[in-house]
Formats: sequence, C-alpha cells, structure tokens
Amino acid sequence: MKRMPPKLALILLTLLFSQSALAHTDIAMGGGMMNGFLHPVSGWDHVVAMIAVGLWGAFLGRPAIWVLPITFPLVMAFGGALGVAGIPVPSVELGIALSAVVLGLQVALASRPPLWLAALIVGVFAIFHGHAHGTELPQAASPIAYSIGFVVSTGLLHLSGILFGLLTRWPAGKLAVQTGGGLIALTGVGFLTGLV
Amino acid sequence: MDAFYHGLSVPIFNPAYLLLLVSAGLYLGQRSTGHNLKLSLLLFGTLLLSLLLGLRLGWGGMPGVLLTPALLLGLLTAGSVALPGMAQMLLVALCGAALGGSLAGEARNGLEIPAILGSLVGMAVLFYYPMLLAEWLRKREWQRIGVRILGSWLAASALLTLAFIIRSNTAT
Repeated sequence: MKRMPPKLALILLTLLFSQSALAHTDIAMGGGMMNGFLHPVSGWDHVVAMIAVGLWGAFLGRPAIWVLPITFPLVMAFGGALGVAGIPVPSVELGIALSAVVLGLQVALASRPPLWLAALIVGVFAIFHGHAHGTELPQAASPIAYSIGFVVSTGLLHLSGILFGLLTRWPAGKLAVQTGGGLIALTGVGFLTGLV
Repeated sequence: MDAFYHGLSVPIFNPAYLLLLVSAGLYLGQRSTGHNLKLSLLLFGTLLLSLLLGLRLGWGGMPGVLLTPALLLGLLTAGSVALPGMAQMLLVALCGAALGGSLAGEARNGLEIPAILGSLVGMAVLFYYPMLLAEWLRKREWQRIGVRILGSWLAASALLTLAFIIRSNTAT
C-alpha cells in the first residue's frame, strides 16, 4: 500500500482544525437570514417533526403531499406570532415531543386519515413548533430576513422528508419510509422521557 | 451611476419590498388571466402616483404597509384563490400605492432622482421575473404546486415579520 507523504498528511490534519472565514458577519440581512435559516435546524425535536411532515405528505400522496407542507409553515407562523406577542400556549415542549411521536407513528403505521384530519393534526403541532420558535427568537438585526430564512429552512426540511418519502413508490422504499417513521416516533419517545 | 445602483439595491436588499413584489408577481403569474400586462401597468401606475403624492405630502415608509398585502397575496397564492376582476384590480392598486408610499419614505431619507429610477427598475425586476416564472410554471401540476408552496412561505414570512413589528412597536 502506498503511504501518504508526511507533509500532505500534516496539511490535511490542520485542515480538520481550521475554522471557516465568516466575512460580512455584520451585514443585517445576510446575518439575519442565516440566523433564521439555522434556527429550525439547530434542534433535533424540530428537525425530526418537520421531516415527518414531509414524509407523511409523500406517504399520503396527492393532494396531501403539498397540502401538509403548505399548512405547516402557515400555521407555524401563526404560532410564531403568538410566541412573539407573548401569548401563552400550554405544554409547548410536550406538544413538540408528541409531534415527533404522533407524526412518526402515522408514517410507521401507514395511517391514511382523511385529508382534513391530517391537516388538522399537522396544524395543531405546527402551533407548538411556531410558538417555541417565536418565544425563543432573539432580537434579530433584521426580523424580515430572519423570518424568511426561518421559513425557507422549515420548508426545505419538509422537502427533505418529501424526497425521502417518494421512495414509497417501490415496496422496499415503502418499508424504508415506514422504518424512518418508526425511528422518528422512537426519537419522540426519547424527547418525552428525556433520554434524547 | 452609484446613486442608480444604490437605488436598485433598495428593493432587492429590503425584504419588505421583496416579499410584496415577489408575492404580487407570483399571484398574477399563477392566475395568468390574460390581463397581467394591464394589471402590472396598474401596479406601476399607482406606484408612481403614490410616489409623487408621497414626496409632495411627506409620507414616511412603514414596513407593515408592505407586509400586510404581501401576507394576503401569499395566502391567495398558496390557496390558488381567484379573486373577482374588480377585487384583483383593487388589490393590485393597493400594492402599488403601498410600494410608492414606502419608496417616497426612502426618498425622504436621502434617495436622489437616479436612485429612485434605480429603485423602480429593481421593483420591476422583482415583480416581472416571478410573474413570468409563475406563468411559465403553469404547465405541470408539480410546478403549480411549487408556486403555491412559495406563496405559503411568503405568507408565513410576512406574518412572522408583522408579529415582530407589532411587538417592537408596542415595546417602545
């Protein structure tokens, strides 16, 4: 086996410890949008629930595949507005943990409720997620840029779930998606019990 | 030229303008009633009128004025709701008035004539590109769904930002 030259190995090793150069960090719009973009992906409880929404939408097929990802950000923004305004919503953290359990189980069990009921379930949980974000939101330098980044990030998480959910077209893919749903539900149980 | 480019950057880098212009463009493009050229002329006509009035009367810009119609248009796009012709014209005219009034507020903060021209060009770009894109994306179902999803994102962003603004106004 050919060995790597020591100098090259040293250079590669130092690259592992290098930090990214963050230019223009004080520009309000760029910073605000990036902060907003990173906010939903910085918590696993939010990430798994958003992906579950996309997965479930893809699993249910049309029109749920687009109704659910449209419903979620709109209702989440409403929940966020409640949080920003300081209007309390009870048991927010419990609701977020339950969202992963319930949505994950829907996918795992291949549940096919009527569209209105699926949208209602997603909408109720979206309020909890939005409220949590709304109350946690920092005084962003540019609230508009922050909100755009925040919503786009949420939408892209749904899209990730939808793309994975499209595997349901094949029998093995359907099993993979249901397994993914089961893992999300288990993660939710971990959130509820404090193990995760 | 510097002033022109500075003006051009105003609607592009000010997300309140961006949200309203893009949502208006997407909404009209999504409907594509055959009257979009007339409606876009109405938008820019009322924009110019409102700009001139705003400069004359000394109006100031308020982000909420831009965000409220952006929220409405985003919701209409997400729901793919067709408004009656008269209501659509009224909404487009209101958008133009909101944009013109806000631009007048920017002008009072030091924008010169070339900069105002630049802003108008920027607004035209931010409106017509999404409109033409949404018209082009009407052929397949997944494309129409994509436009509706974009509409929901715009509405959600506008709603969250309105909440921010209301909170900061009540806090001060």
